Amino acid sequence: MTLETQKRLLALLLGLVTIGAGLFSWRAGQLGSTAAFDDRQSIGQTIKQEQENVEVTLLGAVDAVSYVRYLADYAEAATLDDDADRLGDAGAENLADVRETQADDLRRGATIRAANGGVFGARAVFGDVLEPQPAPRPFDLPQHLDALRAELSTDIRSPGPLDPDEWAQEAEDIRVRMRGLGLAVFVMVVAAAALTVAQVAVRSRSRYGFGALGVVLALTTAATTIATVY
Amino acid sequence: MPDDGARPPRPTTGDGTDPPRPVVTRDPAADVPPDRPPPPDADEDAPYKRRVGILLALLAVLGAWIGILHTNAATNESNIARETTRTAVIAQASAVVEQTVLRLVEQVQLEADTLGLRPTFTGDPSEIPGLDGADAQPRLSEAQQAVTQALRRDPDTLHELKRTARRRSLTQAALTETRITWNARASQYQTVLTTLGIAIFLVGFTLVLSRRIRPPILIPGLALAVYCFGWAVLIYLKPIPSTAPAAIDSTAQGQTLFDDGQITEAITAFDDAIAADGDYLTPHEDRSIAHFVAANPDFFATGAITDTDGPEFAAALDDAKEALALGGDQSVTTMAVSGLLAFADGDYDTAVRRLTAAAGLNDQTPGVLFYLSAAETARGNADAADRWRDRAVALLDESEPSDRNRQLAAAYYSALEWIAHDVPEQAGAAYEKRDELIALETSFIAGERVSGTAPADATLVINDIVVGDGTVDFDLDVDGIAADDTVTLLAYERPVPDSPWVQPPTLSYIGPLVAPGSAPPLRAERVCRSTEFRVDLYVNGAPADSATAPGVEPTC
Repeated sequence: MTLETQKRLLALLLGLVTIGAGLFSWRAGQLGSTAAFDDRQSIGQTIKQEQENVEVTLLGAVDAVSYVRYLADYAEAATLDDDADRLGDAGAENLADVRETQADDLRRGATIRAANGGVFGARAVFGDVLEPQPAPRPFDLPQHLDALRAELSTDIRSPGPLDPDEWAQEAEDIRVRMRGLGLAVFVMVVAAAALTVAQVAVRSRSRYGFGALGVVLALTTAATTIATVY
Repeated sequence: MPDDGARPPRPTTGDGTDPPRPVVTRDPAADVPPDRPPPPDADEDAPYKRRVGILLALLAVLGAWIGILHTNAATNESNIARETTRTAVIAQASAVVEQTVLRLVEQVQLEADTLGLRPTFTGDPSEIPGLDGADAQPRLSEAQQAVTQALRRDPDTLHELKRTARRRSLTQAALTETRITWNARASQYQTVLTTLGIAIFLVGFTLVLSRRIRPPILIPGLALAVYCFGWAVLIYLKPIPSTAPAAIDSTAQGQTLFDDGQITEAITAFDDAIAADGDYLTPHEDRSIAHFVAANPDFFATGAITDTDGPEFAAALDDAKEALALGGDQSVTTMAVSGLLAFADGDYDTAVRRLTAAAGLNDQTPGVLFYLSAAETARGNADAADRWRDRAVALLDESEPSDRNRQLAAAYYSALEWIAHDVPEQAGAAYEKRDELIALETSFIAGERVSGTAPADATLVINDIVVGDGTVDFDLDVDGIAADDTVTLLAYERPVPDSPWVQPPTLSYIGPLVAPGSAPPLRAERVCRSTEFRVDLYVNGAPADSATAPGVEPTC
């Protein structure tokens, strides 16, 4: 191979290596856009998720306080029942009846308020409104929170199950690939530098040495990059 | 053809057009004789151009390396920006939930506490024969217990809720620091790349210059390239601030314990945080406050500073110093706390310097401005003291009398009493400023400007002071006050013998007298028992009378 041919070949390789580096840069930029999209999704879903969390927790907490009022009314009604028993024992039947009615009214009012306020499901206490239970209904806060969460997630306007962490992880994985592509561009530039040195070298040993180095670097990088992070 | 010297006619073809010209080929070797040397510039420039070519290739490699660093910094910044935003949202949500749930739990407790006011539980025996009021008491206790336990209220759960909110908030702050650093780093690499571009231009430009004028261009280009390399290495080697999660967790734990009044446990948690990450500013800052409160347990309740000589106070000073060394000079809290510590230590010059810096970082903090005013009073700078006090007053909520305003005013009175005690030569100035603010506070609460004139015969008598377990109650009598006069009663206490007086915010009354002759009762909750009490009476904003009474054996 004549010197002229060698130089033409080196120029061609330089051009190819430069195009390869440009291609990797372009791909990194393209991936960057995808990562930015994933970031936006992750943030958006986090906001929605936290809004739901706050909504459920606050609703649950307010219902819990309403339940305490319900319980206090039942405690007071129990006291009125006690009074009624004592009055009955003392022969004051009329007063005993008044006390019993007061106690029933108190329980009924507490039940209606709790049901309408969302502490209990309206269907669940339907019978209680007509004939209130003598003992207060139980209230399990974690269970109630689960029910509220389920109500929200099955709503027609609900965005469904959200997983902002998955979007965040995807964005991070993409950026790992971007870093890999950046490294590939760097090695391609090193290869281009080696080919440049070969191009201007006077001694044939230097020309062959640097040329081979450039080719090996460029080929290895191109193959590895395409196989892994491209 | 006659030879008459005239130009011979041009040969033509048969159709009259010019015949084709003969093609002349020249031997290039014939132009340049073999023994003639090539142009001198071409030979001498070839090695130079080769060297510049290699140099430019190396500079391109350097540029690519800096480009990689820039890309890494930018991608890290993007990742952390996303996490910062997400954490901010989560922290905000946690804070909302925490505050709301705590308030609702208070509501539950209030519901239980006020059950006894329902007529059923008071059980009037005269109303219904056969009923005894005492019978209602066990039922009341039972009901209160049922209400309190209704939500299976678990202190650990509430503690965890608070701790989670704090941890998220601290994580967000730590992430923000990291994000800012990556952002700055990406910008710095960008600047290095731009500068390197100039260097490459300068080196490349020499290819078209004559040899004589190359050095003045080449040497700066090379120097700039070397500088860019060093600069990039320097940026790369700078640490990225990051906070160990264990340190954040322990700090959150410490802050929650501190809020719950468990100061010793809080200090232990801050110790753990500092052990996990010694460069984390927040636990140093918080531990400084915790040590200060451990030495002065009533400081936040009554403003009392009772110990400035012991090991706890020394530890507080050390932590504040460490916090300042860790970049706390950019934190309002660190500057304010370290300024307060210097104030308590009697170093008013340092106090003024630090509190001024705190006010410079955030000039919307009246508490800092009031302490600045007091410290300037100690230094004898009356004008500066007035200026800071007026700025603080301008920041007070003027829409309605509030607990916050009262607390700030009480802290200022206590600080001025501290100055009067510690710098006796400035006592007159301190009392003057105190009386001015009392007149202002009275006018503000009364809703109109008070006259500033007190009746000559106004008197105050302390009938009784009951020091309970964590409380103190005052029983007072006043006389010589007209119905339309505005009375101001401020009670002070001396936490330990020979200490300055302090003015607890709750020990005050401003308004007209409801029952002639009898002053409204004053009550305050605290940790320490005081050795002496004093009550000052102001009428229409002017000092009228003062009385003192002995306290009990001091406990702080």
